[in-house]
This record gives sequence, structure tokens and C-alpha cells, in this order.
Amino acid sequence: MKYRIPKSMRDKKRYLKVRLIAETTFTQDEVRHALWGSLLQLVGDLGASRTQTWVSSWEEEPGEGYVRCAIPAVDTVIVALKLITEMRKSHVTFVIEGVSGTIKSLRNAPDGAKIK
Amino acid sequence: MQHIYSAVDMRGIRNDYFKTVVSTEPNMGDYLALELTPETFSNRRSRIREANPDIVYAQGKDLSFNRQVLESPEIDVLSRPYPIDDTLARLASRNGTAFEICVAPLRSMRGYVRARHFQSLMKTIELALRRDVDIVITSGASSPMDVFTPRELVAFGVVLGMDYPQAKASVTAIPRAVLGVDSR
Repeated sequence: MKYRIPKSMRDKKRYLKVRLIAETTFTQDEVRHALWGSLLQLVGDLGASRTQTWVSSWEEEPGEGYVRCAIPAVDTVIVALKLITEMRKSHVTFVIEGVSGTIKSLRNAPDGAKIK
Repeated sequence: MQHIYSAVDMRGIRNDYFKTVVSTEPNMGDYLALELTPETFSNRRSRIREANPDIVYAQGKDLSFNRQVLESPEIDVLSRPYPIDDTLARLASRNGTAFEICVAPLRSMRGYVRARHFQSLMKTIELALRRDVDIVITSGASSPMDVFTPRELVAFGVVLGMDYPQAKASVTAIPRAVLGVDSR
């Protein structure tokens, strides 16, 4: 039987709303590879494992998605995303549009009240 | 956090994320800054008179040059303030000169060079916090692709060894105080 930690005992997470500025589109796998490569360069294997980072969802066409991570690692993940400057030999930059505890609250935030 | 009305980018270009932007290029920001290099530092008074800037930066070079900069009353901000030692940090605290931490060069560096740069920035921040020197975190953006949001600048501050409130003040309250803008 698969063992799962009860919901009440799981660590809390944070979701980052991320927008990619680039000339071409990138798949979720490419974004995930770039993020993990940058994280491993920045904090190493052990540090990267502690961040519990994952790309929750990614839409190729507008180049937007949500990245999940542990609460103490939010700043590390933001820095790792900002340090990505190149993907598939084209110049890219990630913009963090918001940080929140749920994807729903990030989606529902009106433009004027978006956490910046 | 970091609502648009409160954040100040002390070295960048005008964008949607910051209400106030200081730029070294005319008409690129809300305030004009003059940057003095080690070569132009000797004739700083004439340059300041010509440019009539709102704020004056001086690039750091070595310990003796950084001391000269910190002893000059015309200089508001010492950019690239490394190498630095405890004596210079105390001098900066006494004279009210702020240190600039610019995150743009980190994006163009890789491997060993980036690690050394992180080390310099962390040591500077550690000394500055110990001696109560003002720190401003800047994006150093020269194109829309290089723009950082205030939350991203705060994240860099936290990763470099600042507390969250200190990092937040470095993009809001301290830049406004350096510029002499009403902090409300």
C-alpha cells in the first residue's frame, strides 16, 4: 500500500505565478529542466532537494505557469528563476507576478491588486 | 507585498512595477543620477555642476579609493562597494553614504565568477548591517528584458543575507530617504 503523509502533517507550500518573456514558446519539461539546472547551480544538490520545487502547470502559448515550492525556499526559487537567461540558445527572462498559498488566489487576484 | 506605489528602483529604466525609477540616462527614469568612475572622480565637482543630477553615485575600486569616496560629501551612494572593511563601513555609517547592491551583473556571470561575486556581495552586506550602513538594492536594468520586480529584488536581498524587512526597506524606505522623497 502506498504510504502518504496525512494532509494535516504535510509541509505548507507556496505557489509562484511565473511569466516567461521570450521570442519562442517552451514546453513545461523545458522550463522544469531550466529551473532545476539553475537551482542546482545556485544551491547544489542538497539545497535544491530542500526547496521541493515543481512546475505545477504551464501554458506554452502565453508562456505562463505556476511553480510550487516550500515556504522557506521561496526567495531561493525566485533567484534561481531570475538567473535563467538562456533556453535553447535564445535569450529569456522570467518575471515573478505573484506569490501565494493557493493557485486559486493567484488566479483570482485582480490586476490592480496583484502581488508584485 | 511590494505594492507599486512604494517601491523605488535606484538604477533602472521606467517600468510598470516601480513608481519611482532613478536612471543614469536622461529621460529614462523619474530622477537623474550621475555615476562617477575612478577615472572621472577627480573632477567630480565640475561634472556635478554640468549634469545637475538628483543623486550622485561613485563606483568603488580599491580600499584607498573607496575611502576617498566615502570622505567626499558630494557622493550619495557608493556602487560596487567592494573591497570593503570595517573601518570603511563605519565611515559610511557616519557620513550617511549608502551602499548599492546591483543584481544585474549576476545574470551575466557563471560558475566560479558568479560564486566570487556572491561572496563579495554577502561580505559587503554583512559589514553594512553590522555598522548600520544604508543599503539600496537595484536592478541595473538597461532594457525591458532586464527589469526586476520589487519582490525579486527583495528575494535577492534575502538570499544575500538580509532579513525580509531589511530587504524590503532596501527597495522602499531607504531609497526614498536617500532621494529625499516623502516616505508616505
